[in-house]
Amino acid sequence: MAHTNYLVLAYMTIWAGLAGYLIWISGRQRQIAKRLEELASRVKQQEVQP
Amino acid sequence: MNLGQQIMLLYRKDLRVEVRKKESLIAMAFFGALIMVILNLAAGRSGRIEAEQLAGILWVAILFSSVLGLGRVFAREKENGCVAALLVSPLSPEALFTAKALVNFTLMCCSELVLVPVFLALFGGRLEPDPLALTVLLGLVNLGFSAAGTLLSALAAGTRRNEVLLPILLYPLCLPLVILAVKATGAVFGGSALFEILDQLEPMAAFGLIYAVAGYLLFAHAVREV
Amino acid sequence: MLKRYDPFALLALFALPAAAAMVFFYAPLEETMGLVQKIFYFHLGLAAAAFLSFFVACIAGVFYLVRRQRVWDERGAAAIEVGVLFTTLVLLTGSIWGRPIWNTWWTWDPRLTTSLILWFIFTACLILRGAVEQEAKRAVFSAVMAIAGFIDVPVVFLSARLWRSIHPTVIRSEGIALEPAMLATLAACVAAMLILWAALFRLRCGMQRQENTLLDLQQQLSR
Repeated sequence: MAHTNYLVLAYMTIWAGLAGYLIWISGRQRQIAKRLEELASRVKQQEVQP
Repeated sequence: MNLGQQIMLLYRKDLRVEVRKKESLIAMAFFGALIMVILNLAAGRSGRIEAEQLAGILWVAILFSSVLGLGRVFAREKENGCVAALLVSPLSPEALFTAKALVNFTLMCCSELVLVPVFLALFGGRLEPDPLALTVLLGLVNLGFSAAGTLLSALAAGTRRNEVLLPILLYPLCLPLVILAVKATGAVFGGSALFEILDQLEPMAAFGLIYAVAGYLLFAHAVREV
Repeated sequence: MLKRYDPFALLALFALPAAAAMVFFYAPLEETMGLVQKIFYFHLGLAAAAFLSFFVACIAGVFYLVRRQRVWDERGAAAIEVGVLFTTLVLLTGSIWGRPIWNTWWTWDPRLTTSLILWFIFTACLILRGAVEQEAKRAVFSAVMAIAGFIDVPVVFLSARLWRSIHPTVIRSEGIALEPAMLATLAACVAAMLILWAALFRLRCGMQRQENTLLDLQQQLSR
């Protein structure tokens, strides 16, 4: 590989790493949102049948 | 009971258990010797191994076998439900830490009494290590390893994956100790005397001191959760 | 706009492109290494941010043990995780930089060695966190491990330097004399990485807080 290709590879790695982390965080965020929805529906049920 | 008396009480109790059952000592010595044999075979038949590589082999054997003893010292208390009893008793957690660390230190020293001669028999044809330098070196590593190991064994014992977790936690922390030990031992195998390896011994002593203090302070927090 | 968006994320929006521009348009070309040397600016920036992260994790551990407030465990968890991410990137970029220069994918350069050991220590922290289910126990254990891990750093650095002296074939990366323009670019990159770190840290803290609140709600409802 030519020298400059390594430079490109390094920057690609940095961006891929950061993007990968953001994707992982957003995945966990969706899990939180899902569990929140489940909780909200359970609260509604409890209100209907005291 | 003052601190010193507490420590001696706990230390003697654990030592009595060890001497009676000898399970840890035998396991450590046996496993260490086994590792050395495996490494001897793995090194191939080429014969000539450098002093520093020999040092590496010795330390792999000692450190890997020591984790066996380390893990048991605390896990045994937990298995027998003794941890709560120890905490409720008037014995201070700091005394518990010091006593356990001393037990680990003693176990390591005893296993090395077996392992070092075995090592010299297997590998040490051309080696003439200075006994004083080697003893001080081993003592310092034992100190650091047992101090850090005792603290971390409290953490590992609190999880369900005790045996697996202790090496994962302990070895990264002790990597600097390994680096220094291998370099110093390599020098000793090459014939250096004590004053020549002081450069490596000082950081090792610092490591031991840092983790003795840290363990003394942090152990109480960790053990209360076990 | 400041209320809706995290200020550090906004800052990062400007700081990161600015730093990149400085690296490519302002910093002079290095003689011996050429273009590849430009990896160095962000590599060092990432290392600075990673180090800060582990320092924060240690401090958060101390505060948690002393005060036992959940917020400190949240910060500790975020700091360890982001720190491991940045350290991974430091190792990868360092390795990629080393390949064309020294013709090897790995070198026991003291900075890389220190980063590698730190990576192992704090990844072990993450594994420890994953192995404990109860929140309070996990927080205490994580705090103890983060503190134990960080106090190792001085010895790690000393021993890494000692190790390097055995391998004189490794070209010292600190041997580059830094011109003022390079220094300014380096400062800009370190600042940009620190801002990025702060943005990610706050994001992760917020997420941890949400998860904890959710757990509280679940417990309350199941009663």
